[in-house]
Amino acid sequence: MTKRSIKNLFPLKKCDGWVFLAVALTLFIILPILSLFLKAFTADQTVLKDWWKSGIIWDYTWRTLTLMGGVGFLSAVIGVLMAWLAAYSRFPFKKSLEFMALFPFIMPAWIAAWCWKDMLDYSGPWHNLMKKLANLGLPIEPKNWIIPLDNLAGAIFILAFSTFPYVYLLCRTAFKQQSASLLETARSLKATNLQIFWSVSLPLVRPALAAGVLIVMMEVLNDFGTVKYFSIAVLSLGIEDAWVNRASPGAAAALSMLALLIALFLVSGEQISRNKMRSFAQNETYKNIEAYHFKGIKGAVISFLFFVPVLIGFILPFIVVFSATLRRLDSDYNWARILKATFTSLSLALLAALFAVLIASLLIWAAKNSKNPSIHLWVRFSSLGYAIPGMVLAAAILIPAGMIDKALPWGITIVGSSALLIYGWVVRFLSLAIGNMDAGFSRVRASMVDAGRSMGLNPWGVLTQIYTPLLRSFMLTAGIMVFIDSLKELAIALLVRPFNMELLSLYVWQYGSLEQLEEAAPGSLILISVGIIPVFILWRRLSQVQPK
Amino acid sequence: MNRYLLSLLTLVSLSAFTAYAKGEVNIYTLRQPELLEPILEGFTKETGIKVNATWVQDGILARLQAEGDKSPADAVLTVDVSRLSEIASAGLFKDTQNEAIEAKVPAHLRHPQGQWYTLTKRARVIITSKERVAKEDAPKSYEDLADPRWEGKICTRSGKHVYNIGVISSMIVAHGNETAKEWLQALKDNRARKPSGNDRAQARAVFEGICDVALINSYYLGKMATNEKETAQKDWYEAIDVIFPNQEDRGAHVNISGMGILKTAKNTENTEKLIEYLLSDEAQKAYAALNFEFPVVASIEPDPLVKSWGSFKEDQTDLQAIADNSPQASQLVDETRFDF
Repeated sequence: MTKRSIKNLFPLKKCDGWVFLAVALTLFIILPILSLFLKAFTADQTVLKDWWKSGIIWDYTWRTLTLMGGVGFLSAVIGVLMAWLAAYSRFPFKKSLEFMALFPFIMPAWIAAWCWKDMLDYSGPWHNLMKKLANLGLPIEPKNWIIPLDNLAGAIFILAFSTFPYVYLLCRTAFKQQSASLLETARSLKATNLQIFWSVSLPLVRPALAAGVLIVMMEVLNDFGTVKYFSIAVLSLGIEDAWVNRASPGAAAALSMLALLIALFLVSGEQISRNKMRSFAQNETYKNIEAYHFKGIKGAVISFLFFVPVLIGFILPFIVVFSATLRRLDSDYNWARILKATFTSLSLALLAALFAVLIASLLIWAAKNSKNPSIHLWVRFSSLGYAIPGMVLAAAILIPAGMIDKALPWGITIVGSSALLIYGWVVRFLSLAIGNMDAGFSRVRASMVDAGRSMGLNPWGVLTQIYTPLLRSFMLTAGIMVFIDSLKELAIALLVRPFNMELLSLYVWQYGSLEQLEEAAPGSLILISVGIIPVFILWRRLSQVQPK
Repeated sequence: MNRYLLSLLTLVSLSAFTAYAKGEVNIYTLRQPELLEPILEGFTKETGIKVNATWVQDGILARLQAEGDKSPADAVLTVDVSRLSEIASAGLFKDTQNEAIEAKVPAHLRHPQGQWYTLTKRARVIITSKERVAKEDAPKSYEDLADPRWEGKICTRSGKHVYNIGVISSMIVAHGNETAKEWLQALKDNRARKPSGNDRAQARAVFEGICDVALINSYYLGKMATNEKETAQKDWYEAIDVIFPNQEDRGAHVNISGMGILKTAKNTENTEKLIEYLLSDEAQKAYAALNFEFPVVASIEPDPLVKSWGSFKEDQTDLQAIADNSPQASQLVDETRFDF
């Protein structure tokens, strides 16, 4: 950060209403993170020294980076290839397959982890198949064919196949926005398909790819369920250790600052790459650029390849959950209770989504309207919640809320209210909404606004009559992402929810943490199924923005 | 659309500030509610007092501290001593004096000022493969698990799990830090695989032949032996022998589930009634049968299945010492890279 930009952070002279709005909203959002800072700096030194002494801190860092890098890379490869196929080619069952490619998005990674472990473990379907093959006389020892998932590679596998839709979704749109003439020119220059992909298409989607991979890496940084289930010593488990075994919330806060640092590094990297790419103006009009037609055997192969990530990330785990639910149907399952939890989860997640979209829109709107450059930094700050491990963020949310409760002599309290839980989810997932709204607002041309202004619209009129219609689909995408992530969220839900409130994700996690997959199955099935509806809406909107 | 949203908003904000009926007991539980509810229902049936149990995992202390005086909770139920001791050191539990309770819980299983009481006990036991380990060859103590003859034959869950932290902590108390570290390193060298899964998964691993010896909590054995929903677990149970470690010296390490009353309790009287109920013959028996734990009340027999493993001598080490050493135990797990 340069001296100038620091000066710009406190723009007293140039203070306009927009700056005030953005700063106030950002402060409201990052209040828990600020209190976390304080906590980290007053942390108990002994735990930090112990980590240093054992060197475990390096292992945490190194493994976290490996996990993030591995998942980022794998999901980038899968996401880009699928997006490219979706944008430029035609193959059998394309429409349904494209839709299904979004499904892994609604499968919580921790449920996928249980299911895959169950499938590949001893006495699981895979092992049994190997035993059968051995019985048929094949020279294999079934024991040697067990694939252990509880290691870094296993976690990379699970997390990549559950997060690639982020990359797919962003890159698909970006590919579709590319000008067909570029492709035609490249072809007329006799470039091979590979050359076109590598030198023409890929560079153009780099910002989208970077944004997608960034979201994926943040998800990984914050994953707790999967790494805990596989006992992989990464930062989030170190944070749990500080907290649970060493009774040092301060050290947990300090360690999460390390996670925050990694996240900041990533975000600024992405920002730099985005700035560099700005020169490539994007094409506003869509054309049908399905340049490649795959038919016959080739088509079948392509369709299958497109299907594989969905199979791994959604269908196979879904089958495990579904069959376990069927086994559980005949007995005394408490459906009334789980339906109540489902209703609570749905309404709270919906509210979180609404507020996140509202706040994100206001922030970006303020940034667009203010001439003050510092405002962009403030907007960036408000996304930080995504970079703090959930458990620490959960405790951090409680700190200011508890202080306010103590200061105010009301009968009602903020701690233990649904409002605080909604706030927690907004803090956590605001960056998803901000990313989407940023993309949305940048589609509004300055010329449109000028035209509106010249016809006598005030800023409010510009917002309601020009921005809102153009932004609707982005708002919807943003809202749906926040909604689904809030439904799946565990850490904040566990610690911040009102006393005596049951939530769907926690109902499932309760049994999952006891490794009772059967008991967890019906709830998991509902959790996954309710996600399909918003994904369907999302899909319809996405299909609408691309007139032929 | 907007009207729907508005009504939804109202509904949720109303639910935000629920007032709790007077006389009801509100507890935070670190034990999954499903393992607790049948017994709480028994209490309500007997006394007419309703219990609201809210499940939390990590961070209970942060929640209690944020709630401060306005906490809706009367008590906290945990599944290990460290959490109780943490809340007690933060000064959030209330001193209590209740002769009926004290008469039932031995002194080393409760806080000296009555800030918390043990409700049930579970032993950390060694299991061995019936098929591959002869009874006379089986390890007889936690220390034996470090013997090189078990190289590549032992399974455990993560060293960071509170149950293992408890055992390691008890080793530190018994032998000092250095010896405990050497033991942990040797145990790591004897592993059949990287720590993975929960305690049940270790029994499964013995059944599958991945390892011959494992360290698990006693109550999982009962849960597996009687699992009608996933009958494969019965086979896992059938494949193993149970050994109570260290019977010739200090006894087997025991951890507890326990409960303390918060200073903010609005309902101390009813909460004490709940603790009294949980220590009653009926509840102790029910708890013993439901979760296969050892009743803390000496006169109550454990479940017949639990009894079939034989009686055993338990480690009388002060639970507070176990709790105090758990940060060091965690450090040893890091230093030996036990989970790697």
